[in-house]
Amino acid sequence: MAAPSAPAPPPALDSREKRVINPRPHAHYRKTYSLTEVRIGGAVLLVLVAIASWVAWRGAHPDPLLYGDPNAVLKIAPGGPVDVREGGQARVPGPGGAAASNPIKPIKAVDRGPLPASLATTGFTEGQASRFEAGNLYEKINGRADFFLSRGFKSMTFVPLTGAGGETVDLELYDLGSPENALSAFSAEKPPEEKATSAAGSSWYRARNALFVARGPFYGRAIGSDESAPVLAQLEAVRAALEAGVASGDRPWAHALFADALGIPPDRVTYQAENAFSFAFGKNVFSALLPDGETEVFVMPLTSAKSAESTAKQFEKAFLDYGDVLDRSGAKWVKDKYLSGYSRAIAAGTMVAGVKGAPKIEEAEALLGKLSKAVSVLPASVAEKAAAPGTRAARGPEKAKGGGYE
Amino acid sequence: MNDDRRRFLKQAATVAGVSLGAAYASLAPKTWPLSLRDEDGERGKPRLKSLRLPEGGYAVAASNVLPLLGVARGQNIDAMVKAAVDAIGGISRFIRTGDVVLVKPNVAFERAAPLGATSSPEVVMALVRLCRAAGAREVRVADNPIESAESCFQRSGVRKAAIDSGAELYLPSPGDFHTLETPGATHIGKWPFFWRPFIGVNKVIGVAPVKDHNLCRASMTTKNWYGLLGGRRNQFHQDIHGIISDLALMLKPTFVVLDGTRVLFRSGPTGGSLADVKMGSTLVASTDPLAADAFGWDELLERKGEPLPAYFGKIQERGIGNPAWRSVNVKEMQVG
Amino acid sequence: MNPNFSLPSFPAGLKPNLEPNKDGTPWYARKLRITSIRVVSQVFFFGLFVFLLWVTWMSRLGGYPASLFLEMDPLVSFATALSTHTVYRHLWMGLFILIPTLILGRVFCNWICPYGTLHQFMGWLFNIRNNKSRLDSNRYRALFQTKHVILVIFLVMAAFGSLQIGLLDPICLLVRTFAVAILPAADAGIVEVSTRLGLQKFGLDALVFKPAVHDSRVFGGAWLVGALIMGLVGANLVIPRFFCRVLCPLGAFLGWLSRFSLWRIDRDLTKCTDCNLCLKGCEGAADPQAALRKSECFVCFNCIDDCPEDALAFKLTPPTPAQFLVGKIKDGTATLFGRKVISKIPETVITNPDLPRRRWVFAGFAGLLAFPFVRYSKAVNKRGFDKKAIRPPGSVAEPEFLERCIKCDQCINVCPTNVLQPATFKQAGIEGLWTPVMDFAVGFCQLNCTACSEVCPTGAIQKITVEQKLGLAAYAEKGPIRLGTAFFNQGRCLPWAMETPCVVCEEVCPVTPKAIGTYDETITRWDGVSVTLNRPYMRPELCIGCGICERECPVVDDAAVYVTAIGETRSNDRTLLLKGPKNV
Repeated sequence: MAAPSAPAPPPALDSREKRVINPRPHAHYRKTYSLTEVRIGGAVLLVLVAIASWVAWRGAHPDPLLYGDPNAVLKIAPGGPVDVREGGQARVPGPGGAAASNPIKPIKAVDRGPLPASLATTGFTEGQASRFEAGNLYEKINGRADFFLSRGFKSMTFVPLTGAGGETVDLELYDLGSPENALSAFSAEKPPEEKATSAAGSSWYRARNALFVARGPFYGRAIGSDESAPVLAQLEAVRAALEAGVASGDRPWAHALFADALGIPPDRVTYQAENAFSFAFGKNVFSALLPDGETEVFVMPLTSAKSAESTAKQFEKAFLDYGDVLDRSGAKWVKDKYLSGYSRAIAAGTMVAGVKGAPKIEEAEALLGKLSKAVSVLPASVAEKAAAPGTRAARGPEKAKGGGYE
Repeated sequence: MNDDRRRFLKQAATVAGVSLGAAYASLAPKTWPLSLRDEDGERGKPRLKSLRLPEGGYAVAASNVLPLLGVARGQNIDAMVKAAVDAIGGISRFIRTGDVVLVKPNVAFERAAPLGATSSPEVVMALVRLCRAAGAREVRVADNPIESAESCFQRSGVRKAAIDSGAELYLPSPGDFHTLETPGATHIGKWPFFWRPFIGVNKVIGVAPVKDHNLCRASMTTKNWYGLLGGRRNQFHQDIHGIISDLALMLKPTFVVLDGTRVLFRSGPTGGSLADVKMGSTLVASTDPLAADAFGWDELLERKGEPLPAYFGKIQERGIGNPAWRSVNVKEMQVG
Repeated sequence: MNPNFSLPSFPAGLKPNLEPNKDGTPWYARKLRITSIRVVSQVFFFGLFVFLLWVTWMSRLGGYPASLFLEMDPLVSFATALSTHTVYRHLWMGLFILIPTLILGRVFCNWICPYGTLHQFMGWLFNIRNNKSRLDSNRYRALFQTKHVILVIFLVMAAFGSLQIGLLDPICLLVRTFAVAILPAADAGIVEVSTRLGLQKFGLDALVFKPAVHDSRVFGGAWLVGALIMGLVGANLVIPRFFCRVLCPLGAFLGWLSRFSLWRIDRDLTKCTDCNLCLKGCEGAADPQAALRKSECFVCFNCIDDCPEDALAFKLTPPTPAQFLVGKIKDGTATLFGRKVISKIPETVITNPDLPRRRWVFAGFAGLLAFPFVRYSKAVNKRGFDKKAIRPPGSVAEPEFLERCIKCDQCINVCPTNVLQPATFKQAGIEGLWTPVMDFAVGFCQLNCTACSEVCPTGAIQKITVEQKLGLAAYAEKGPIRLGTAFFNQGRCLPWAMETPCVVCEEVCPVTPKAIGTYDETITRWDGVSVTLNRPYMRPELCIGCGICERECPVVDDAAVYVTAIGETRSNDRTLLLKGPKNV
């Protein structure tokens, strides 16, 4: 290699000595070079780039189960709770882990309720059905039991179905005692963007791989493992079996009322047994949210015209807590301070009819007019039945009232 | 000869210079520059530099008109967060353009969100978006969990929620803690505090899940500030109620959100089983964390009628909050 | 060159010299020599090595092959195959090194091995030798036989079931050194600099190897691991590539393989003037100036660079010239195919490792004896195992563990809570030195974490899922993996012994239902105040030995609740309770 600018070594050294004394420690001494080395170098660089790309690719494509299935812990249903401090009482040493490994057992021989002997379509086989009641519902549906218990829960029948390709459909059929409760559960679980179909006494919708049906006093949830054709066919079969096996029953009077008078489909109707609109006096209330997502119409059946009058007054007072009076030719409407909707409740026969949160006063007036008219022509027998308290599952004794600090 | 003399002078000067320098550094009075003198050992002791949070905390001006508690029930979390905050005056009451906001979730444990041991990622996300929409310059999400910070944030989904909604994630590292002075606190008058996320912050929002707690019986928005402290936190259990009341004294937030979408009603605060969780489907926004907690105790943990945990009383004695939530202006609404 | 001809824009030293070489090849053939390419490769692999350590962390792991270097270390594959008769998971990747070695010789040592790169770089950086001294320092010495003895001892022990290669295997050693000694120091430095200079906003924190840990990571015996690397790197100043030439068992192993290699350095006797300059940069001390020791050559190609006569070349199965020599070398009359032989040394290659047969036998005996010596130490047996030898979740039973663990400490590196620590002599004897054990004074085993099992290259910690660890779904019958059992020391427990409320342990217990229960009592304290104490007790059926209770116990120096190894599910010898699933 030419050494262009290195300082000249002392002239006394000959070339051999220079190498030994090492004036330039990192120099090399070869005389010839080779293009082959350059080519090999290029190939090595390509290999290095390939390794780097492979590592980068691997890094960007982790095993989806890298740290285990994050939802695995959510899938299992652990056994009964132990060592739970109820109501803040002193803790009692639990019976150790004995209860921890209890498998889920249905508490009595399986009664299939209205279901036919088999639900399975071609390719599917039915697994062991099981039935749950108020006392052990939480074992099956952790954390969701209260939802049904507050809706007149009587029993739940669970049927697992397994397809030829390993796909599954799990049916949970809830007997909620009355069509009101079934529709209430149905509408509360329905996401607003799903559109329900109401026909032949059933209300149902399918959301991807799941089917939800309300029919008579029953509410069914059938969840498929995927959206494949066999699963969808099995879901359809489940729906057909329910329609065949369950009497549609009477349409609940409130649903009929809303549908006939205002054209509101049944799946929009909700039932609140108590604390409706967070009002302590709001009991046994049917309400329906209009498609605008703001206006609510409601009816609350009472035992007498007198109590209807006083309850209507209570509504007015409660509305006024959040709003101001707006006089519309004698009718007292309340305009909400925060949400700026219009609300009013009036007595109609033995019921209270009302509109809440309507954005336009004219529409609100029209709605209330139609509703109160429809309510006042209801047969007396219907009104009487409606005022009777709904069927409700026992939820245990009310806790003792206390107060203060511990 | 000349050389010898020069060499002698040079060496003598070096000897004299080093001796004098050493003598000066060790003997000069300590006020003199470069003096190292430490007669009584006081100078050599480590000095703790302590910091204080702003006087009055991060609260905005109080209002006599607006509700103190906004309670939203429903399933659509975005709408619930908005409705709850709207009820107490709307986000524009609290967050102004250019604010730097710290959102403090409770991510203490490495648990998946449905297990209810951590703040819901959806609520954190909705809140961060709300703040950003209100013009916040920067939104930070920070917590100092009990378990490994990264795993906790990852497993609970709060990491993804924070990043997706455009917040900055602050996880604790050794340089992030400074001693915080809390005048009047019983136990934590001076305590290591997760300081870095607070640099430049002018609004603080707490987001706490509703949890049963083995010792203090309920862990909600006031206990949530536990995650801002470092140091020997495991001593706190020796007077947990005193500590929680100190926490309430230490940090006065802009507002808090009590995340009652899920309620860990037993086996708290760690949980670990869905059987310990029920759906609360409720969000509470409040400028008074204690009122929110009392609401949670009555309505979400459903322990109305049982005596409130002792820390409620201690906090009330300090005049920081009002646990009698029924007596304050509450707005409840059903959303979606 | 004409000194007057210089462009003003280039300072004298930086002037590019683009003239062709004297042999007519273009200028870049001078720059892109094979040795330059080698340096690029070394830098690349060292960078990759550090990068993979950087991604060995919960939030970064993704799909990265974090233990790639360990998995493609053929000694790891071979020795674990000897000890377990299986090749675990990714260890087949040893072929990536094995095959090139069989074709090209020990290219791994000077092209890929990050530890070799470190030694070479340090030797280069701190070199003060002149050429003559360097030639002498690169001559072969009998001392270099040591590595072969070490390898034989390790392999014989491995065949009996005690895997010790990790003590000196360069990849294991370097990963361990980084994990235990270098990374904590680097992180402390980065955090200090970025906090002091306020660079956190500029992303300096992203360089931190272990982000989001609120206390600096600490490791038992980090000083020893650190001292070892300082000593081994420092030894380069005395003998260049000291570790690689004298100690490296992987080098010895590759040396055995490279005796078959198709290519090797060949010396042309008709050009070689015996000037010995080829020794100047000879990394392997392979005697290229005489008979090349094939098993010592690192294929670094420095000799080709340094030969002023172009007498050395890398050739495919070159013949040995001795058989073709005509005339006598001593008299200077020798010729080879008609050309005059200049070199005085007719031999060009020594194929086999230089270890006399009796020393092989010695090494074999040493290994034979070493196995019982280490195995019948107390630490690893059914009785007398150390109570604090608590292995990470997924670990196989202790004898199998010692067949597999290579002490690389990748598990320790990835552990998010710092609970995994390199074992000391006390916990695991010399056989288990630096193997992973849990120290709950430092951290705890996080419930849903299986990171250590993801990165273990040899299956000492088997790859497990969270379901498996917690005993969920398909593993419900088998139950959770237990690491040990927690015990209370009532004499130190605040509610038991000191009339002071506490129960942090119950709060943090992660299993549900909780494995720690309490007896609640209201007592009148010494000063007359009435206090309610929740006095904790264990429910051994539920305890999984995760140790978070010990970690969080406020009695930090000698925790009032502490976990010991008894009750671990990985071995039937160490269970505690009669009932409960056995590891069958």
